[in-house]
Parts: sequence; C-alpha cells; structure tokens
Amino acid sequence: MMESEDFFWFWLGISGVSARRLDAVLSVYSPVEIWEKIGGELSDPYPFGEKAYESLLRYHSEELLRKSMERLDDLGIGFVTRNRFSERLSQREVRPPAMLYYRGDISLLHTDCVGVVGTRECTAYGKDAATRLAYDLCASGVTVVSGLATGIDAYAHRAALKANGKTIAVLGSGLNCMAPVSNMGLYQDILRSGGLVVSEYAPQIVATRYTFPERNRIISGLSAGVIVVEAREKSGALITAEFAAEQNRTVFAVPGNITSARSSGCNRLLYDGATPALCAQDICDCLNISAKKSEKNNRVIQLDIFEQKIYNILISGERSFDDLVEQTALLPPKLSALLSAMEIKGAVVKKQSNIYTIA
Amino acid sequence: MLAKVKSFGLSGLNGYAVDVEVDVSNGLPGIEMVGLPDAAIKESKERVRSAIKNSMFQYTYGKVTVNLAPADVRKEGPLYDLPVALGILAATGQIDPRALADTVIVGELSLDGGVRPVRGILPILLAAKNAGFRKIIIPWENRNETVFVPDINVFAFSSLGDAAAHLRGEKTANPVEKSVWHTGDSGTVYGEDLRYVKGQYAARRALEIAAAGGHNLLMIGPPGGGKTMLARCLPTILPEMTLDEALETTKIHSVAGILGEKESLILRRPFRTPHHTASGIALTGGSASARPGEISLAHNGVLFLDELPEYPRAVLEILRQPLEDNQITVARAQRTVCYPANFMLVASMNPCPCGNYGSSHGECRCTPAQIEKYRSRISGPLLDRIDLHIEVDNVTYDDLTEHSASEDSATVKKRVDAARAVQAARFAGTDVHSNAAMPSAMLQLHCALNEQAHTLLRDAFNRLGLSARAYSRIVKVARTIADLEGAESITAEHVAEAVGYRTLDRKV
Repeated sequence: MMESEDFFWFWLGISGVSARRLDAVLSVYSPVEIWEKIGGELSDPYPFGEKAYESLLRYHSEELLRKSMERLDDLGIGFVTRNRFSERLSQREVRPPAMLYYRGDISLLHTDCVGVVGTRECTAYGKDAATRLAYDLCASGVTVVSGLATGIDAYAHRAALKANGKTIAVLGSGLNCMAPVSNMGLYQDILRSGGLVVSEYAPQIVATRYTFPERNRIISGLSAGVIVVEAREKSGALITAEFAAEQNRTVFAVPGNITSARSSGCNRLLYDGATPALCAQDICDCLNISAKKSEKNNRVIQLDIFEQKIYNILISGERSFDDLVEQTALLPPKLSALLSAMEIKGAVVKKQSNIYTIA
Repeated sequence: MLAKVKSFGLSGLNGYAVDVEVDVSNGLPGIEMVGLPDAAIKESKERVRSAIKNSMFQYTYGKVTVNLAPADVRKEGPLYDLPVALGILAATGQIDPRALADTVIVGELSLDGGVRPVRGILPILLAAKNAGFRKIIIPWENRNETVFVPDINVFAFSSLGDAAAHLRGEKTANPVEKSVWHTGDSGTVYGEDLRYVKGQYAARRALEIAAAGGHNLLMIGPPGGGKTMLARCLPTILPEMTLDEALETTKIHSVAGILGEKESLILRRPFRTPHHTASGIALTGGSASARPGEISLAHNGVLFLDELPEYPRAVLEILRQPLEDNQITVARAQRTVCYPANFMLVASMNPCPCGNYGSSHGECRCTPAQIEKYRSRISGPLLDRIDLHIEVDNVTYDDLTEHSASEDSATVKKRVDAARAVQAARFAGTDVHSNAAMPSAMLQLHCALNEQAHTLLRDAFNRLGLSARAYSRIVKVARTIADLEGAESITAEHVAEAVGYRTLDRKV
C-alpha cells in the first residue's frame, strides 16, 4: 500500500523530530537504518531530543503508524514525505522537515512559486503593492506563497484568489489550530479555489513565538524568490528574507518612502543588495519563469466627447472633483454623472476624497 | 363649599382634560391632595398657600381637599398650582365659582403670587380647543405659543392677583392677539448659507439632492473638511415648513420645555446635534415622564450625528426603526407615548481612525485592518437607510481666500422647491411625501428604468462590486436627480450619478 521509504519518513515526521536534529542524524544514517537501529544501536536519545526519542520508540510499530495515517485521513489531512518534496524544497539549506501536513492540491509544490511576505501592520501602500504584485504574478501563472497572517500575507492570498490563481499558505501552527482565527474564511477560500495549505506541525499543535520564524524557512524554501513587500527594521518578514538568502533564493524588496517606518526594513534590504520589486514581469524575468501571457483585456472603451475631455485632463495626473469642475467648465451634476459613468466603464478610478485618476 | 376648575394634563404630545375639584370643609387646617399626584403636585400646597397669602387674599383655616380627576391617571408637573389656588379662592367665596366655568386653567405659582411658565402649552391649547373649550388661562410667558391657534380665547397672566381680578370682573384683561400665518414669508434667518462654502462642488450637489428627495446623507472626510458646516447649510435649502409641520414641531419643543419665550412658533427647520456621548434614551426620548428625545426634537428637520462611528453601536441601532416608521414609541411602566420623528439623518465620519486616509494633505498611519474595523462600527442595516454617501476633502488656503461667489442657498432652494413640487404631485393622495420614503410598490410604478439605464446599472454592480441593498437606494436617488432636472423618466445619466453616491457599498 505504501512505498517503504514514505513509511519511514512518515514515522520520523509524526514523531516530531525537529528538522535541525534530523539533519544531524541523517548525515550518518538513512531513515531505514534509523528504523532498524532505534532502541538497539541507536539507544542514545540525545541526537533526537528526549521527547522525540520517546515518541520514535512509541511509534515504532507498523500497526500504530497505519492507524495514525487513517486518523489523519479522517481529519481530511494529507501528508507528503520528504522524499517527495520538490527539488527546491529538499535542498540541504532549507533544512526540510521529514514531512509536511497539507490540505488542498499538493501538486502545487512542484509549480513555480514566489513568496510574498510582509508586516502584519501594513499601510495602504503595502496593501496596494502586495495586491498588485500577487495579482499580476498569479495572472502570469505563478503560485503565490505566503504565511496566512494578517496584513500583507492576507492581501497577497486574497489577490491571488481574485486573479483566479493558485496560492500556498504555510502555517506556523497545526492545520487544525490555525491562527489568527480572523483569517479562517481566507483559509477556506484558498482550499475552495484549489490552493494548498501546508504545515510541518501536527494538526493539533498550537503556534508559539518560535514556530512562526521556523515556518518562514519553508515559505522561502518552496519559492524561487521571495518578495518583501513591507517590513520594519525588525520584522518577521526579514527573517524570511534571511532564509531566502541562505537558500540562494532571489530576495526582492518593494521600495518604500524613506520616511516611512514600515518600509525601512525593505529599503535596508535594497541597500544590502536585494532586487527592487517593481512589477510582476520583472520578477518573472529575473527568476527565469516563463510567464504565461496574461490575457489582460485591452478592450476598447468607448468615450463620448465630454468623457474624452475629462480623460485628456486626467492623463496629466489625478484631479479632484473641484479641479475638474473648474477645468472642464461642466456643471457639477453633469460632471458627476460623467465621472460615475466612466468609472462604471472602467476608464477612471475614484480614490478617496473625490480624487479621480485614470484606471 | 365645593369648586370645580377645568385643567389639562399631558400624555406625550396629547393633552387630556383634568378636573380639579376643591372642597373646603370644617376640620383641622391642612390641605389634602388625591388623584395620583406626583411629587411636584404634592409640593404645590405650600406654593399655593404662600401665593394666596402674598396676593392679599385670605387663606382658609378649614380643611382643604383637592381631587384631580380622573383619579386613575398619574398627574405630573406643577401646572395645577394655578387651578388649585383659584379653586380654593372660589371655594372660599373670594371669587365667583361661575366665573370659572368653561375656562381651562394651567400655570405654576411662585411664593409671591407670580405665575411661572409651564411646558406643553401648545398641545394643551390644541387639546382644549378640540374638546370644545373657548377660554383658557395660561402663564404670561407662554402667550406667544398660542398666537397661531384660532377660535380659542387665551388669557395670559403674570400673577395670581391679576388672574383673580380678571375673574372677579375687577380688571378685565383682553385675550392674547392672534397672528395670521403666511407661508413662505417666515423670513427665517439661519446662521449659515451655502454662499460661504468654497469649492466642494460634489458635496454641494449631494446636499441639494438630499434636500430635494428627503434622502439621508453620510459625509466622509478628513477633519477640517467642512463637513459640519455643510450639514448646517442643509436646513437653509430645505423647503419652508407648512403650518401643520410648524405646529407639530412646536408642540414637541413645547412639551420638552425648550421653547424660547419670544418664540411663538418654530419656523426654522430644527437642526439637532446630539453629542456622541448621548445615551439611547436621550435620542429616543423616555425617562420616567416619557419626554421627547433628540430624534423627535429634530422632527421635520435635520438630525446631525457628527463622528458617526464614535456613537455606541447600541445607540445607532436605535435609529433604525424611527428611520423607517418616522415615529418612535416610548413605552414605560406608567404610559406608552408615541412621538413623531420624521427627520433627515445627516451623519459625518472620518475615513479612518486618524482621519487622513485619502486626504491630500496628511499622511494616514492606519492599517487597512484598522480602517476596516473603524468602518464596520456602522452596521449594514443602518447604512442601508442612508441613501447618499459623499466624500469631502480638505479645503486649501487658496479655496478659502477665493473671492468668486458660490451659489447661495436661496438659489438652490428654488430648485429644491421645484423638485418637491413634482414629488408632491406624484404622491398626491398617499402618505408618502418624498422620493426617499417610497415603498417598494411605488418604486416599480414611478422609477421605471429604460434599457440603457438597466445596462448601466448592471455594469455598475458587476464592476464596482455593489451590494444588493444598494439597488433601491440608487433608483430612488436617480428619481430625485431626474426630478431636479424636471425630467419625466429616469435616464442612464441619472442612474450613473446616483451610483456615484454609494461609495461605502463597494467591496473593499
């Protein structure tokens, strides 16, 4: 029913041996050897950790492991063992876990992925940038990877869903103990859209302050490149960037105002040599991803003379309603009807405070 | 000896007849009051005794029994001082009891025999008139409230002595002179005028539409954008009140006791601005005596809620039912009263907690999550009852110092009046008065959209992600826009403009 290698990795995974310790042991023994020698030749719990060693012994029974698999199946959770990871994720520098728990479409692991990360307390600019980049990336067939946190992560996932693209969420907790709860709806939406949610932690594990930074290595590990959209000087997103650099991934950073504290981390990354993330096309080119030609609908929008007049004024930059009244010499009722109609056609966009700009 | 005096009490906005019966008999000196009096009435015996004494009349040494009939209704307020005092004078033979017949008497006494004003004179007067009385005695300071009610002679006195002299025929007073109502020449002066609003074309236009169709309005903008000033201009472009409207509003203010002495009738449309710390009771009315609240005081006028999200959610939800029914029913243990509350809701809010989101002048420091949270403080159902959402930006220095004159309120008002006239013709014979109040059945009848308008609206829903509840709002506002233009049917252009006023319905 199952290839034996999967079986041994599953055993290591469900026992919760940390990736770091596993690396050390695996440099000496193969999984099969560990299975054979545990308790005998390998009777020192130290390389595994006390707790993990105990559970390795406890799970050292084919029957119990089969039962565990069935139980996971009951929960609707799948698992993918390390031997089946994508090449990128199996790299030594990633320190891959023995297995990943998942819900959704696991084949996404093998697609072209780009990580989009950033601060939880993002600004409107960060929201726009994350949305735009994630949307465009998805539209060109890239899978967007992020952490399902509030802020940038959530906006990146949402934009991916909006573009009808694929997205992967890497959790810092078990799949059944998702935090923050406010993103539960998003979690469901991702699954419904044919996306993927993964975690290296068992379903019932609750997130701690240590698990979030740990999972960041998987976000970067899955991805060909990581975009940091917005980050303070000390931000979890920078940890992801660090992992990405260690794993030889391209680090992109969205440039921000030098006066904005929430972009200071990004700007620092740029100073340190990160690639500026300007548009999805650049990112794809840089990562050698052959972007699927996005069918951007360049449909022709019909404008009448008045609308053309307004459009011509807006070409030179955004204008407030009052400015437009004065420059077009149209009466406010007429102008407001025209602008609204143009907005419905998709020719202009109304921003806050009655400011209009070309779409 | 027994004397009977007619008086009136108040239940909500309605007066009801109260018989004040005074009997003086032999016994221990003292005064006994029965007929469910409240504390203010029970205390009146001290005022009555001193007032009689200080007005150079003889107070009785007998036992006085006062009954307020009907005995099973709780009576409130000090307005029975004067009838009780005159009753005692009649019962002790100091005035002729026959002089008291067919005369309604209300008034509070002070210890020196002066008559002090009471609240609720106008509703009492109207009730007395309807009950067939032709004479009423009221406090001098309340006389102005009565001048527009014909067919009843009002005698106003400033002291018990004067009132008694009049009744004894010693010094006959003339009834208060009546005034005649002229619609449209109220000469009301409001502090604000649209002339002083610089720029803000979009907001001015929205204000005009709101006034023309009676639509509720929400203004969103950074602090200092002039939202409050714009709101204050709204009454200046609303149509003049009719006599019925003015009487109704005055009645409410009279019951609340906030009518100025000089004010005979409220001619200006009320503009009420309760603070956001106001309680639900302050808004709806209530307390033990079931007084009218802010929403009733704003009847036929404007209720302005500044900084809408700062109001406690429970308080805002209270507004939902009155916004639908145009009245509020206040139920208390002792009584249930219904106050009219037909007001236009004008609200203002900042676009985000720091106030600078989207502003051209300041940087916003709020996270999108904070903004979402801030906006979600206003519930969907309440938002549903607000037809127009407009954005107001800061005013620049150049705008302020600009000398070119803006259109003044009087000009805008003419257009509003014309649009209202169209609506009055449309809704003749129904109890609907404005487009905003149209029920769904009428919507189909009066707001047929042509094919073009339908297409445009469908596109708008798809592209702007409008929520379904926006539909009827948009159609009603489009109807008003068409009325302002004098157009018979709604065109795509009207719908397009109306769509522009639904910013908060768009999905973020």
